[in-house]
Amino acid sequence: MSDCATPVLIPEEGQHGDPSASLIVRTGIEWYALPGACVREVIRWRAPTPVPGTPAVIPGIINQRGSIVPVVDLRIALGFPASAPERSTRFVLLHHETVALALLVDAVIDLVLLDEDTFEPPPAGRVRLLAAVSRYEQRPLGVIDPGALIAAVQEGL
Amino acid sequence: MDLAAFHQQFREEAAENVRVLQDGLLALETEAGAGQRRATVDRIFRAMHTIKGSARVLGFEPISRLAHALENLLGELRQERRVFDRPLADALLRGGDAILALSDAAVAGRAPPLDVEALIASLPASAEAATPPAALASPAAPPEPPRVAPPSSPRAAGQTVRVRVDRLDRMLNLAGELVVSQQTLANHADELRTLQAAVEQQLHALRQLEAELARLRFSPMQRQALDLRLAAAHEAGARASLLVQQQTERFSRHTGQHELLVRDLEQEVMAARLLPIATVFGGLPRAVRDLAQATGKQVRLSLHGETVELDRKVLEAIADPLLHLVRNAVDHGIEMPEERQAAGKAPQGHLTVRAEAASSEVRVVVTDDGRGIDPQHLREQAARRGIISAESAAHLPDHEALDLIFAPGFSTASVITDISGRGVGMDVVRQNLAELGGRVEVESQPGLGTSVTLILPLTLVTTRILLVRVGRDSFALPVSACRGVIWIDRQQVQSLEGQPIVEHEGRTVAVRNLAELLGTEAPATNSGAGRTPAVLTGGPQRLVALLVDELLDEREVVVKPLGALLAPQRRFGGAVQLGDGCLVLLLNPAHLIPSVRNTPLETPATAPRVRRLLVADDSFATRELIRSVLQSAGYEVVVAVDGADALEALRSEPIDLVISDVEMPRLNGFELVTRIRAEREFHHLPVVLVTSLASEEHRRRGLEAGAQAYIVKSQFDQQSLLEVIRRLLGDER
Repeated sequence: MSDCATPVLIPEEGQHGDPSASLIVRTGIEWYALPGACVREVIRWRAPTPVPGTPAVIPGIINQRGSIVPVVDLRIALGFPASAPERSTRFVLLHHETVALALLVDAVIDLVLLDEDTFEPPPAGRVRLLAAVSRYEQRPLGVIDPGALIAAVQEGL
Repeated sequence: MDLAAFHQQFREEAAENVRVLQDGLLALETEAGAGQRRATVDRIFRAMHTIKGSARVLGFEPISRLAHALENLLGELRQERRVFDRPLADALLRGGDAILALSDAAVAGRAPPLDVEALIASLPASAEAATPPAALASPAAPPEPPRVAPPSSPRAAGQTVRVRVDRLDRMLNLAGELVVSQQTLANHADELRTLQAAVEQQLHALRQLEAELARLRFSPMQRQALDLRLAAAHEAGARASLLVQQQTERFSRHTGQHELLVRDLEQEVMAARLLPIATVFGGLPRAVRDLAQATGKQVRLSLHGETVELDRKVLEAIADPLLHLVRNAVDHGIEMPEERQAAGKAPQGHLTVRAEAASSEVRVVVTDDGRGIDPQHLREQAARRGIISAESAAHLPDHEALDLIFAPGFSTASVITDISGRGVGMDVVRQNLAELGGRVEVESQPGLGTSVTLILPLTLVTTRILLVRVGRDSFALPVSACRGVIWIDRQQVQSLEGQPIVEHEGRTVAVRNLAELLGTEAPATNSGAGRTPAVLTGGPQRLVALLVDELLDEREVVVKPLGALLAPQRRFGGAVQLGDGCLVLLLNPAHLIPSVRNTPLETPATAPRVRRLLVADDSFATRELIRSVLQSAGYEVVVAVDGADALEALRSEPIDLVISDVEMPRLNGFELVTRIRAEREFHHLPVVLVTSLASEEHRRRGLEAGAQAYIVKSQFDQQSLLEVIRRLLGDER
């Protein structure tokens, strides 16, 4: 199957994403898509303030223009070990319903329009965070369900 | 067109107009002057008319029909074709309540929660129906009232707009950010002054160089060239110095001005969030009236200080506690008229609710002239309920005995009445207040009355905090939750019930290590000899000294919420941004210190180290059975009503072993075991499943999930349970 993605502009700091687009991010060697409707902005990594007693998936909180935003490490949410931040490490600010969070990803790759007709149901197994599976540059691409992600994180609190 | 915004507005407007109706009707019950009464009737008639009109416009048919029926009654009252009596007042009040319920449902898109037609039919019959039709020359419809917009319009001074609270919160947040960035600007100004000093130093060095060169021999040619260069250097230096000086001055002036602006802005935004306490007082007259009627008592309510302003959040949070206190006063405080007369008092009881602003606090005092609280009665009650031992109860001074009404599970009414004895106890009142950073105090004179004082922070915008260091991290504690700071000498620490304690001003104070409570690091850091600072917190009955590494500062800060994702955790109430931009978590001491229910510190110590077991079962009977078995075996027992509750208990206090039912709501026993095993700190925590599920399949599932033992209820006997527990706890060692 060929690519089903059309590139669009990545939102700069402070800009809103295109609601119909998806933000492609990398975590380890895996690529995931975040629905553009809930992506607020992409910001550089900075050291979060740890919150004792919270699970490892929440490495801490950051202050984003006066609001406290909890950081959620996508790596740990997906079951990978944590890793040290690199030059490409980013926070993707997500707003879903009443919840705001800064998703820690290893890199932000692209902002694209995914063709929803090509979405397939996620494979059986550990897929509780995925809404669907698509393809991007000959790779499998997990489409993250923000609601499921938040539910999974809150369950651990 | 999107009607949603209008719906919201309609609901608010309806609430306001129903409030006008209620207040008006209550006023009519006491007002005597004919002119005054007419004005009141006009006012409530207009309020009802407005509701009817708006409901019709938005297509809320049942509301408009009901409002129309009520308007007819009011119209007749207005034309003096009907007398104002209690049944009419009751009917109108009921109608007002129904309008509120209907508008809530209509705005939320739900079906009407009540039968409107039946309600309309139940209203007093129209006067026209009773009067012979011949007597009515004019049509039955009430005359159109003068078209007046909602009741706020007569207030000419200061126009108002409705602003969404979240918008105000964001504005406040941004103002708070400005304060922080103002701090950064001030730092820049300091740096500029350092730069200025550096330039001066450079000029000074240049002059020294010049003097040094003057002492050396040079040819006239060389001298001339040097002078030229030196002059250029001087000129450049002087220019740099002047520029730096000018810029520093300008910058400092600007920063100073900016600081004033930012402070003004912050204060304005804070003030915008303040509301008069009248919004909370509004519901009290009705509550007192209804309650007095229901109990057959006579009560006069006086409200004072209705214009005192408080933060909207504080108001929201005290509405229920205040109502509870007022209900309590009427229900338990004020006596029946005969009883009052027998005691030589007026048959009508007097209840006063007074708000007073005092610097950064607001005090709301609820005073009644009822029977008061008998400290001796409280002592007996507390001892009977096992809240404290009979012996320690007997030794409590009166004012501390009064404090017992705030103990969890304490109710002074010998009969739980349907009015005030419905679950919200005084312990909840105290807890609500504590969460706001306020306090509640009670005073009482038996036979003369009781006075309960709520002490509230004026605003929640800034909070006074104590900044402490624990290991490498800093944490903030709300000053309102701190009862002082003491220095604890390691030598003074003794042990009681396996817990470290110290004696402080004749009281026994539990000692807890903050680092240990937070799980931030091994508590070894300050376990050596010497003195350690500790923050005193907790209620007067249960003081706790929190050991910290260092006391850093006390200051006024803006506390920011941690957001929806972290809302389930209760240990931190928010975060604070310090001037340098770094974040510090605000501790919530009430949820930090594990509650040691049913075992106050007065209990004499028996065992050197009491094992604490957690029993999770959704059946009250089973839970209590297991609890009593374990307690009589000398264990300390904490109970949870389901798996989720159990997890919360596990996170809030140290537990040595868990005994859990399998079938529970929210989180069942298997899931609970899985979750316990998934967390590193509970990895070795023994879990015993006690269940009615006898199948081999379930036993296997339980053990697979990580339970150490599986006991079937049908085979339940005390000895085998206790043996299993002893074995598991022994293995642990």
